Amino acid sequence: MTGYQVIVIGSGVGGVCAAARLAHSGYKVLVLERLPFLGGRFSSLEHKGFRVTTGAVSIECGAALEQTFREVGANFDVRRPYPRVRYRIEGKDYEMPERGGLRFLMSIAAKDEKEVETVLKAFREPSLQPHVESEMSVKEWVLQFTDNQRVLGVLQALCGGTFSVNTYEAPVVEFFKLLRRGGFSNFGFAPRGNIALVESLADVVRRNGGEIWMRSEVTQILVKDGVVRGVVARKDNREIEVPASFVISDVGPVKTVQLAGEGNFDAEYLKCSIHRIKPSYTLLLEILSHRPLVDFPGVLMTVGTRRTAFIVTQTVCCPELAPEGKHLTTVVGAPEFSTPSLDLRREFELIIEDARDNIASFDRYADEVMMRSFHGDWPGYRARPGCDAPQRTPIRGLYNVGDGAKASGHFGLGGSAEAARLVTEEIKERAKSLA
Amino acid sequence: MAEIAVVDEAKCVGCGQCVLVCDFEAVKVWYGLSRVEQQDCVGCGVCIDFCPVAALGWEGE
Repeated sequence: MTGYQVIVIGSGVGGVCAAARLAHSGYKVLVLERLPFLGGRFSSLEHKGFRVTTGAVSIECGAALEQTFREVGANFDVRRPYPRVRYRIEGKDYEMPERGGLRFLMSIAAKDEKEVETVLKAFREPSLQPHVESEMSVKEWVLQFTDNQRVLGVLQALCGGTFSVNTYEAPVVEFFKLLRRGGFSNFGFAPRGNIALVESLADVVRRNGGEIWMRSEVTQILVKDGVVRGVVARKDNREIEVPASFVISDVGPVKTVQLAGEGNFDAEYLKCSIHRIKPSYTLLLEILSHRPLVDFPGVLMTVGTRRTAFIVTQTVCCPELAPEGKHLTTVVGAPEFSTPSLDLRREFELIIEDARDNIASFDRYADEVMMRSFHGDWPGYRARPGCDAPQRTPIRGLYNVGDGAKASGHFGLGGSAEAARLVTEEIKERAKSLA
Repeated sequence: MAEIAVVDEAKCVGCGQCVLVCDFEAVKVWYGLSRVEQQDCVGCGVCIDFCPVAALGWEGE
């Protein structure tokens, strides 16, 4: 049989990173994507000449994702805005310095110098430790030191913007990890859309003899005697069995279990790794206009809003994303909580109120507004920080990458890219010992 | 008459991808829920194809 050594299920960021890395290292790789476009929630679709995201907004630079591109020789076409970040606190905008961001923010939000030092100490000391144990949320943690609403508001914008959850949902230990790596301030946008980045990795797969099948849904992961054997995929209305020594799933650990059959997993794994995964929902207002609604290229972090974490007019930094003279603005927020009982109508009413408060003449300049929500099987994050499943599964040769199995200490796209790196390294080791 | 796309509201997450791919401005996403404007739908099916959660289908199916 001509066979593939590795099958990757799903072409999201974790999937294409893993596929590109392995193909680049000489493995015969097959990527199966059920949808007609590549990239999953890290992609873009064309709408009236605009390139609009399928999920991801800002792209971290200088971290695990960029590292992947560099290692496989793909073009990391990401443009960094300058100024990068401004904070709007009580109607006034403050530009973030390159370094000392938290001190800068606290010096604005705290009531006096003593409170600045207290809050900085509360976060800095634990974030310098290699390992801190706490079950507390960011909100519970900070309330031990201050109940200053402006301080809480800054932390809320940080948690909402980075994790897409509220301070009362974000584990403080994850926040410490974020601080340890210097926050999330080195980022940019893809001038030709997220899809261009995914295509660039997909090209590495194809150039190295790999294949990518679109509209090919995996209906089963084949397992025998605790070892993965391949998958069953539906392609052109036919079910085909594709054998492989390794299967990498980028469809989320919960779906991986369904595809492989729950009976193949032990109770401990299901309890401690699968059932503790909690998603985070995201609210997005996508606004098309004839003028930029944010007047600088970077991200406007909004403090003290109802739902909004940040607002960005990406077309100021990347005019290529829109037809000439037109602009695309995105308002991003976390809803009150992330369970199906959420009242989406109310959530959008609140985020629109935020948009009206923070964008001058919003109703006059917004030509088209899309009220987009990300939840269920297409969420903001499948796993909020601190509850991702491990990449390794109890089934030999079966791994998870991407959202739901993000690498600890990495966030967003970088967490998916790092998970892909860890898995590909392990597969290379395993393949060596099998050979 | 062409077939018309419809949204299964129980499945729709409101990500708006159907709005992005529709060339006929027949789909809108309001308050995190998509809606097909029947009079504008030409039945091309692209929204059904691109929906990540299989919330769109043909009317009557």
